[in-house]
Amino acid sequence: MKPAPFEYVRPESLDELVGMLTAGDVLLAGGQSLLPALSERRRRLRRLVDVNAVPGLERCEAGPGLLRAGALTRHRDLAGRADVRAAVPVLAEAARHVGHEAVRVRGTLGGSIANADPAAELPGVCVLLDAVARVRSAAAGERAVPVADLLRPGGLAEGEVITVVEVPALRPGEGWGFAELSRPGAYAFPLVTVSATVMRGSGGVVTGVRAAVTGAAGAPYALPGEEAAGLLGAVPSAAWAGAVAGRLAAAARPVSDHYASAGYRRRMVAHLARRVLADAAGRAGAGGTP
Amino acid sequence: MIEVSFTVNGRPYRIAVEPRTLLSDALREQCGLTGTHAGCEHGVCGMCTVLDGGQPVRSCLMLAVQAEGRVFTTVEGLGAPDELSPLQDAFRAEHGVQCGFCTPGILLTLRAYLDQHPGASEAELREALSGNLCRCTGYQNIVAAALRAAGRCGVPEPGECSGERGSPLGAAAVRREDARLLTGTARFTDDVPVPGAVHVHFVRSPHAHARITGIDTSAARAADGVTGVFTGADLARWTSPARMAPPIEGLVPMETETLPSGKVRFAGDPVAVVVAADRYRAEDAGALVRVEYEPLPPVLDAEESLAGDAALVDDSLDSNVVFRGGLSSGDAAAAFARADRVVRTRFSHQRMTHAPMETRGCAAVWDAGRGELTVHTGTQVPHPFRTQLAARLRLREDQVRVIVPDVGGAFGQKLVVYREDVVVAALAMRLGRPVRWREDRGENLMAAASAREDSAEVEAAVTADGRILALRARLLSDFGAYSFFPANYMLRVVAMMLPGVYRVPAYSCEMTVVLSTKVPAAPMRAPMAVCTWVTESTVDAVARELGLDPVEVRERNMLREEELPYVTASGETYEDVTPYRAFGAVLDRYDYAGFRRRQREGRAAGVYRGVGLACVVEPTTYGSAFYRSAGIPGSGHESAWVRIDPSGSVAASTGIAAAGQGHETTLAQVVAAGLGVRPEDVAVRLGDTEVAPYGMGTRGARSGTAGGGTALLAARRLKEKVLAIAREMLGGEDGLDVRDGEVVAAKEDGWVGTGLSVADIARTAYLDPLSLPEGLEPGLAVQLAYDPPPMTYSNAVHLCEVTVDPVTGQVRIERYLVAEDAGTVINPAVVEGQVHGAVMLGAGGVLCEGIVYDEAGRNLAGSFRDYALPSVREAPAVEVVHCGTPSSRTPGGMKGMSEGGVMGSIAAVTAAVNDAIAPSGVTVSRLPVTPPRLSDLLDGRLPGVPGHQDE
Ligand SMILES: Cc1cc2nc3c(=O)[nH]c(=O)nc-3n(C[C@H](O)[C@H](O)[C@H](O)COP(=O)(O)OP(=O)(O)OC[C@H]3O[C@@H](n4cnc5c(N)ncnc54)[C@H](O)[C@@H]3O)c2cc1C
Ligand code: FES
Ligand code: FES
Repeated sequence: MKPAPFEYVRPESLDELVGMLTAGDVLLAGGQSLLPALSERRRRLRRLVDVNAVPGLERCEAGPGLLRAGALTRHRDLAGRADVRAAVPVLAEAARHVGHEAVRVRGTLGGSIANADPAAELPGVCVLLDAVARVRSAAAGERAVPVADLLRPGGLAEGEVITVVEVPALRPGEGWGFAELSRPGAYAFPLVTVSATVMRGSGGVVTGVRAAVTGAAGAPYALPGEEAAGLLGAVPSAAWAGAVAGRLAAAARPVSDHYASAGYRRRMVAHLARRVLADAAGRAGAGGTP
Repeated sequence: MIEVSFTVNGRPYRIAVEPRTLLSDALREQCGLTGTHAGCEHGVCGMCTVLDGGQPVRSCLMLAVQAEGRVFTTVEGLGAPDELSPLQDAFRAEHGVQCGFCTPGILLTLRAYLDQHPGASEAELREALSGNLCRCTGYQNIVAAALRAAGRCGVPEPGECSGERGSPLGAAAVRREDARLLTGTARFTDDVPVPGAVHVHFVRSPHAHARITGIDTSAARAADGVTGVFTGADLARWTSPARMAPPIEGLVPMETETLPSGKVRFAGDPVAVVVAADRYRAEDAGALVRVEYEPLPPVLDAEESLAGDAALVDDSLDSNVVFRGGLSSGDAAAAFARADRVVRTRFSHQRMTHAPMETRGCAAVWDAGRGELTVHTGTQVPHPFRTQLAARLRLREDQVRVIVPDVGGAFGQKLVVYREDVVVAALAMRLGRPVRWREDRGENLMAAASAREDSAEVEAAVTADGRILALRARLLSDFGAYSFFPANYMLRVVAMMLPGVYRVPAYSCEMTVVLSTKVPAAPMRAPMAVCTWVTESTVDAVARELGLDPVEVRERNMLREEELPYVTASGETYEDVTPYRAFGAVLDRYDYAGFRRRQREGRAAGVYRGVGLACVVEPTTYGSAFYRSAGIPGSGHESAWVRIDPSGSVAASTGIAAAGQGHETTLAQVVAAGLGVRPEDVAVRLGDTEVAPYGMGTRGARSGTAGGGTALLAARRLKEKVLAIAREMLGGEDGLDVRDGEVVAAKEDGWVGTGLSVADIARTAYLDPLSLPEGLEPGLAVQLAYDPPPMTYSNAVHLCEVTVDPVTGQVRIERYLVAEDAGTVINPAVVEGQVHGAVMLGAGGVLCEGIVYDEAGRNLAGSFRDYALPSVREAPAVEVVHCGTPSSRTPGGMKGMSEGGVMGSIAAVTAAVNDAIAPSGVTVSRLPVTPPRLSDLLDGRLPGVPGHQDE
């Protein structure tokens, strides 16, 4: 279990990085997904381009209404920083569930998105919140792409670098919820996750609801907008949460594998969703996100 | 090569590395800091954790080139053997270390966490440790140590011990092994320096079953750094095949080539071996070996093999069935005809693997001038290993020396000479250079050895009030691709132990063992473990079908101590066991009636609680007479020497070898007790065949009785000589004894010193032999051998309470109680640690572990991502009650233990789950019960819980 040989470069500016990329280069961020793949020789590459010395990629700022998280923002910072938790508590909570402390110390948000595991926590929350990634390449310059698009097969083109992820903050009063069911045992990788936000207006009726699911389809998916529209105007109840859960489960396209059956995954979407929607509704209030 | 500079433990390093060099390798090999261990090299196990600027990181998931300018702490920086830090000391005090392979990563993880969260709670500490695996301890004492380090001392465990007061036997002494294991100064196989060694890498089959039609090694041989590439044809010239043909009725003789030449029989079978300057280059060249295969149908289903529908696994045989046997006693047919009810049960245990945290591996050095081979390897059985290896290499036995360094867990996986070991040793001789091999985790999971894919169909003839009249069982075991052990080795003991703690007037059992295209089977900690599950679960089924309580049915059938000695339906004689007393001890500690009340109330509220009971009889010791009568080849004797040097220091050795059990500590206690000295004055030397006397090694829970018993006898005999000399020196005084290294004389109210010490006696014995009594030879050393009784039995009762989440299928162990009767306990803390680890091993099998093959026979569990080991999150807190009834048949009254915990937990955890889900009408009979499988099984059968039809 040792990597095959490769060349190694460590560019020291974003321009240098983007300028040098050629076919067969692979970026190294936290290495928490890439290094196992190299050591097990599941992945071969010609040249490894270590982005950890590029200034600015680690910058993570919670501004008004928006979290601008550089691609190298570590899971540990998303989980632990007070300003991140204040702006996007649902992202902080999801990050807390990623791997273990040692993995969170190195693993990055950009790497998680580029890695695009269909069950991973952080991409799901990006889909929930309509996060947008800024992507640079020598060929196309900079483009802003919804993270949801990057997660589809072929979403990130060769030679493209995710530089920053812009995650809209929760609105004042918006409630949130996150739940995960992981595989048993020490690895505890997520099997299914559900995240949601709820806005409530006068009389406590639902004025906005968003939800996203990972691990139950080829890529994370959100509650379709037109379905969400039909769920507004009610006072949240178990039945209401059940209705949202039912729609999320209906949208699932799960697979069966040696971890779990498709049926189980679908049931877990519904099960987690009920709880997450109840949490989000419970947290929703007028002004400020508790 | 790239130069990198960094700091480790305050010391600057400057090394040159390849871009691909892993930080873990650079620390170990280039900085010489071998306390950082590699347990998986894919990020899951946590063994390689180091601190990077105070933060924990996996050093296997960083490249050495990324270390530039960084400041690391490794375990060597935490404290020295004679100066442990408080954290390290907490681990020693709480017995938080067994093999110690996981310990460095755990210490560093905790160090970082406690620095940031002093005074953390148990829940927080468990979460912080959830990324660090341990296969030995069941995590319990690790959590206790973490709590102690956080300033929250664990509640001391109650326990009554049988040891004599004031004797070193029965003291919960801290372990002498721990100082080195806690500081990174222990030496595991891969840490042994072997100058000039080349490294091997095995090229393995991707197919489950295929004919080898050609192997082209030319490109690999020409690759950078390669010494040579060899195949089965080469090895056939240099070595003898392994022949497994003991004269046992029903057993088909088999032979295994050193490397397969004609066909491969499982995915992972080695087909070629590359020797190169380092492991990286060896793997590069391995990728260039071109093997042409003609795929054959995989053989995955034992029933198909029985029906004769499967392809032949071994072309030299005429069937895949390699053992058939039976046991019977009493008139089962008549009992079934007379029975009020026949209760039928089925069981199927999944294939598991031992997964010791230190994988296999060895280093071989050939001294051509002397014609001597030295092999460093972590075997459990140094002498039998030497005997076998010498034969395979066609050497005289005295030409081979086996040295066992520290061993990072074995569990039955390090019992035989594997094909890889033979290859490495043969290459060292052929190439005239030291050769070493470190198995990687992928190989360990796919190609080392596996266990327990056993199934059973049972019928119990019972009376209307639940009395067992007869048992009939059909046992089937999937043995895998080759015969590393005699094919009846494991299943024979399952059949033998099936009657358990019950009166079974008539019994018949059929055993069948078949080959398949899977990893070959080996005994794994409690190779017979399914027997308890099968019997206890059948008793539960009897209770269910007759509407009786499981406790009541056990009461009705269980042997009472007054009935001993008792000859079981399989012909075993139980003596000195206490099944009924242990049963009572557990129920006294647990409010069973109260539980049934809580269970009823919970169900009404949608909370599913269950309780499971398991009564265990653990066969231990396995003396020679057992092997003879069971038709299994083997000897059960053990040897020991004890000597006192002229200065009075004591040393001892036996043929057992440790893999985390703390033998150096417990043997010192035993020798000290036998000789009358302090344990800390006894040095224990194990594992080197040039030092240790020929014994049968560590397996089958025999180390306490056979190893400890032999050492005790040798120490006692040596004490007689000490006393004989003392008597002479004191002018014929009688009534002498040795206590704490001093010769004492009996006075009416106790003992008084004589002014003579053991050191004085030793000086006389060696340096003034003319002062010795007439006829006594100079020196103070005794070596003897001892064949323990055919079998001794320990017993235990386990009680497990769980809650099942009926929707997610998650099982939580709420309470776990064990009453353990292992006879005289040498060290209760060591015994408890063995119980914790064994319970977790069994429970892990029930709840999450398993090897999975796809239809093509590919192993899907080739990493720790897919072979799910339990973490500290799943670990129960096991409460141990000791009820030590000394054995009347062994020196010191020891019975031995370490496997019963596995037997009990498979049964108790499964029973608890079944009790919890009883309202659904389904029972779990196939393992594991992972949450998805349990949820699918329940399939909406419990009120208010969704199933498939609701999707
Ligand atoms: C024991 C363990 C447990 C884990 N558990 C979880 C878990 O529970 N949930 C989870 O989601 N993940 C888990 N992971 C994976 C972890 O979260 C990874 O950090 C993450 O998947 C990848 O991030 P990284 O920074 O490590 O990326 P890397 O491993 O460095 O790279 C991953 C891929 O992304 C590409 N890439 C990286 N950065 C960029 C960029 N800026 N632009 C373009 N491409 C880029 C790389 O080229 C590579 O192909 C676990 C890992 C381990 C070892
Ligand atoms: S060796 Fe690094 S995590 Fe297992
Ligand atoms: S002590 Fe933890 S793996 Fe052995």
